[in-house]
Amino acid sequence: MILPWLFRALPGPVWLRLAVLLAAAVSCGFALWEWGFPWLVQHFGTALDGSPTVGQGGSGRA
Amino acid sequence: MPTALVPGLWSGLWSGLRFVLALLGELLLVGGAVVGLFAAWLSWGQSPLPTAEQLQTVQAIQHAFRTGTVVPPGVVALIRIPALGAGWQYPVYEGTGAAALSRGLAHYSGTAEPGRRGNFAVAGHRSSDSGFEPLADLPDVVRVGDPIVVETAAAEYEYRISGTERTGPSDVAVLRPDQGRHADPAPGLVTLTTCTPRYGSSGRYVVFGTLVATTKEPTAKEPTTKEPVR
Repeated sequence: MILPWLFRALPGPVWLRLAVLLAAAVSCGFALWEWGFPWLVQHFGTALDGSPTVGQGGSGRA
Repeated sequence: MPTALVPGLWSGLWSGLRFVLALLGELLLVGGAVVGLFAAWLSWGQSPLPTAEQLQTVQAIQHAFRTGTVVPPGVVALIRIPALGAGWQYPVYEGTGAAALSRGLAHYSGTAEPGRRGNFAVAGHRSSDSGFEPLADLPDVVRVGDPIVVETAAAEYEYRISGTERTGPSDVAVLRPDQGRHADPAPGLVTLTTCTPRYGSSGRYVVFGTLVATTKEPTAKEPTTKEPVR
């Protein structure tokens, strides 16, 4: 749907369009890996709440 | 409604439904790929080994220890656990505040100093939102008998792991001089605590060790956290 439309909309030969889409996918994946997932966990990762220090709770992360 | 319009209506509805289903399918595929990538990131995206920057800090502290020069403020020791990796080495900072835990391991204030009689108790992250999780692999790899090496300006102390335990967050007895299990504090003990399960905080994984060797002679100068008087 979106990807076929993008593929058709891009100029150039097939290999170039494939390469452009692949590069975009890798870039998105890298951005998620480096910034997206850490941000996600930082803001919504309540499962990580805790502290490795015994006798204390919730002041840091496990 | 004229009967001639019915096939056209059905055709339009079917076309619209196909569009929605195709869009939904593509979104689900992309969503599945992102979820898979997230699972991979949780498993492999956060390394317990020090980064280049952390390694520089470790080397600077080591240099200060070995030459008797100024030690960065708050540093108690350097700790190595070879079972966690050949390059695994972190500073131990005084106090178990969030700042200390985000830079290295944290010494429980009031517990013994390294190499001394009593219990040198240390905490560390096993998972964190910043990706700093030096003890991520601890429960999986350490075994009884593995060494824990603690280096200070005074000496290098080698502890051997004598046991492990899973306990609750409120079990402060493991910080006592006898580790809460009637261990003899005379030779010097070490206790590491971290969270378990890895992405939870309902329990604590505890590693106990006993000092077996002092492998470096004390340097001439004691460490200092202040600038020398000129």
